[in-house]
Amino acid sequence: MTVFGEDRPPRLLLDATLAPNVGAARPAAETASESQQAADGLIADSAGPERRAVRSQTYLSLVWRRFRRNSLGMTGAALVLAIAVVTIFANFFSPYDPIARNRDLIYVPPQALHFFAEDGFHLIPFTYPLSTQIDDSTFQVVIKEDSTRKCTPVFLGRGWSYELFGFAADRHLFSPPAGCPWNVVGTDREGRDVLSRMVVGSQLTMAIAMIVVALSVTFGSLIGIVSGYVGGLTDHWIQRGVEFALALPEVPFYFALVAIIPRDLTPLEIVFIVCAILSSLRWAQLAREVRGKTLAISRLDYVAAAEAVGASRWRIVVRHILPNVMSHVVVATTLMIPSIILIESFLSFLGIGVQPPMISWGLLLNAAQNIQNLGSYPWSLSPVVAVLIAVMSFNMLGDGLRDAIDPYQQ
Amino acid sequence: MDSSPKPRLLEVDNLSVGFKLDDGVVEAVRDVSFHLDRGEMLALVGESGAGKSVTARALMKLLPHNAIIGRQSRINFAGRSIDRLSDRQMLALRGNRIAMIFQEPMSSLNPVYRIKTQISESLIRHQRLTKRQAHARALDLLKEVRIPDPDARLEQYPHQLSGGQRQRVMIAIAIANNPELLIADEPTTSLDVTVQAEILKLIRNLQIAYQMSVLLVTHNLTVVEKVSDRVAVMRLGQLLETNATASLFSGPQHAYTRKLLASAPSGRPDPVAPNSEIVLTTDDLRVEYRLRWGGVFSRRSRILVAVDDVKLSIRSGETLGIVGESGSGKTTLGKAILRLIHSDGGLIAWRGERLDNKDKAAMRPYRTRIQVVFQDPFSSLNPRLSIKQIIEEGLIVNRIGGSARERDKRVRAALVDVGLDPNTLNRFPHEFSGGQRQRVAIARALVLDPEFIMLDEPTSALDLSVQSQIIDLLRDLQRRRNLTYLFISHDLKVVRALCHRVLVLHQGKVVETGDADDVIDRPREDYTKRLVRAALEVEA
Repeated sequence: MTVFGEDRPPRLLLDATLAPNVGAARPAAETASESQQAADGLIADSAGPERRAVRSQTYLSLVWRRFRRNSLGMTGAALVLAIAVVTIFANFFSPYDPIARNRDLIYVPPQALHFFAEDGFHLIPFTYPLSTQIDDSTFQVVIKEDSTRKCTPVFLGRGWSYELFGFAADRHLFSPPAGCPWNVVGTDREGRDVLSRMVVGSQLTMAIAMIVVALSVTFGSLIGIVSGYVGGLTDHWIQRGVEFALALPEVPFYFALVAIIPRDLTPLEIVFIVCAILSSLRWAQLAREVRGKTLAISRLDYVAAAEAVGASRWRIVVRHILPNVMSHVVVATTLMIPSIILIESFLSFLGIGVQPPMISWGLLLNAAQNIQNLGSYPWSLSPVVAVLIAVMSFNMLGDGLRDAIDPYQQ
Repeated sequence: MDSSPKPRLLEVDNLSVGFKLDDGVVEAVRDVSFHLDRGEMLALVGESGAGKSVTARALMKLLPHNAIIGRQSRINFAGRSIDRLSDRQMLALRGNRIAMIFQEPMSSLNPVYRIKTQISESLIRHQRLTKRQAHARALDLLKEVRIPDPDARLEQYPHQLSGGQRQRVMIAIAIANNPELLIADEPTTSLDVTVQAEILKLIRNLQIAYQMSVLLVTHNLTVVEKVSDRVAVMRLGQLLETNATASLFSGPQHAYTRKLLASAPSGRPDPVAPNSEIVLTTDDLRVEYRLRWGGVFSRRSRILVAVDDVKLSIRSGETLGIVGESGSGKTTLGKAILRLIHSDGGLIAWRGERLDNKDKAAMRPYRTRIQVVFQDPFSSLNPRLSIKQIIEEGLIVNRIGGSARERDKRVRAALVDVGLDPNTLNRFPHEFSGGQRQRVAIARALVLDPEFIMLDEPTSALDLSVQSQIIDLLRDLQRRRNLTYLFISHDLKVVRALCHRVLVLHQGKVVETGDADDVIDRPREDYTKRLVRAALEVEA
């Protein structure tokens, strides 16, 4: 396309005429092209050579135009982006080593962040060390802040060392001072910082979601396209397979499969097997949807026209069907991620998914399993907030994409 | 017409309608004023995008939520202003004193209710009839719209009726409450020509019988000339001219009206050289579909013969028209000849070589010589590819034009050939109007330098003025490149303007074949006579 870049004059007023119509219904688009010609001819569609220089709107720019206006979708996109950054640079964002135990700080409740002290405003939030006392008369645990000492972390300071893309690093967004706790979301039963564990735990949760989605989407859309385009007996039997996969009761099936994983595997191997198990059922729904879409598209005239110019089957699939199915697949992908996050959390919460010492959100929730813990240390439920935010933001993004992705229809 | 003594039923003053879109307001109708007397039929004519339907729907307050009606707009109905009525007050008017018929009889009836329920619904609501009374009245109405076997129809569901019958049911529903005003929005557009004429005749008769006023929205000028009392011409949201039908057709005032009248397909194809050879023949070509229904234990099947032993031959440089109503197997025949669908017996030969026994791969060498243009320019262009990619595809898959530069040259030449600016080749299909898209589709066929093009109703999705341009283009291309066409159409006017010979198809069988003028002017078979009468001389 760049070949003609130079002879394309700058945008003209036509751009303005076209703009309100993008995404509008077909008749409106006709109106626009007619009004463009209102000046040069009486009858529409004169198609004269004077009509040049309309900046071309590619598919992606059309989608972006529509997506941009969806505030919920944009919020979702921003949140997903933030989650992605935090997940990739999780070690940088976690103030403490997520696996470092501290016997002195077991079950420390969340410490409040302060910005103001007697000496005025502090840009970097600090905490006061906590002390627990038992009220003499009521025997209630009273938590008191020791406001004589301020625990101020160092911004971009050095802390526990980790590896980032193969390089050793020890910088953190906030590096708390030694011997002065800065546990914003409290600590767990081994004195580990919950915030750090949540941040680092996002890595595994997201990785599982991505792997499962990648596997299911690849197989699902391939099988769907083959089924829809080839048709006939192939389609018939593939669809029976899809029905079989859809008929299996999902959760008990996962339980059964997870239960037969040999226990002597390393935690990492278990994670991969869990991924495989989760993907084994997830492809079916997508395969069915993609098949329907493919069926509809392969009946359209442009596929027949491609056949009439002699295009091979392979070319028709890659060039004509796949790009038009992809929009649907992208949406399905975004909406599948939250459901995988939920399933992972659920399985790990029950203790049959991710195994320690690996950290995932579900595993963290595992600590909140009994009512006694929950009553005494309610902050162990805080990973729920992370799951909630992640699921909601992916859903918002997916809904926004779904509305925007088909700019030719409304 | 201003001195008309008849009482005014409807008066529309300065009607403006805009649509609020994502980035701005698009004006669909601008300052339209017209009036309608009692017992009069006014036709609102214009091409797509002219704002006819929006005007009609604005009267009924059936516009979508993003519509904005201009401040100066006034609508008076039966001496009362209805433009500021609330939705509730409008409900009492709609379906009662003002009724409407829509374009799509397929989608405007609810498929899950019986015909009697659908007709009696508004009777029960507006006339407070009991169910039994309403059903009795529904039967009367069905008789009035002259549906065959009205008693049985009452109990049927919409899918058991044909398109024309459904439109009759729609009309029955519309006239159920003796409305004073009937708005018919393209009532015949999606129907076959023979049915179109009958439906229009019915509307005209009912109008006289019920003393209704009718606002007929249409793009079809033929319809208008025979039926309406007055005509209003719209273009780009503005009303250009209103006049009594006879004077409008004899002396159009506005330049656009003149152009619109002149744009009816005209002329004749250039004669074929007498010694030109036969390029394509079929002999006893047959296409069957096996229909299955019934349960597991009572499986039944029937063979539907879509194309029944069709024999035809086309000479080089000739246009053979294939004419018939929808469902007559025209398109199936065309696709079978091009081997885009299966055929069940018979012979297809291209310059003596048999095509019917070739598979997809073996057909590929012939694809460059035999090309196709489809009916709907909206579904025949892949929305994700640029114009250049669309046209270039045939060159790439057939390895024509070695370098990218060479291919680019050919694509540009093809665009010039079809009258499009070659600088548009980086744009996408959605940026073009229907007529321009059809030109792109023709360019896609032309770039391969074919000898033969199958044209499957290439003009039927287009406006009249665009239609005649496309016909001129096709005729011009045939002259310059000595192309051979197989032209599939239901529109006899277009066929006459483009085809040398005509083959009339009815239920897959050839009814009549011969020179175009002979068949159209002196049809021998009854079916052809009916077709010709309906298409060329709609009578009220």
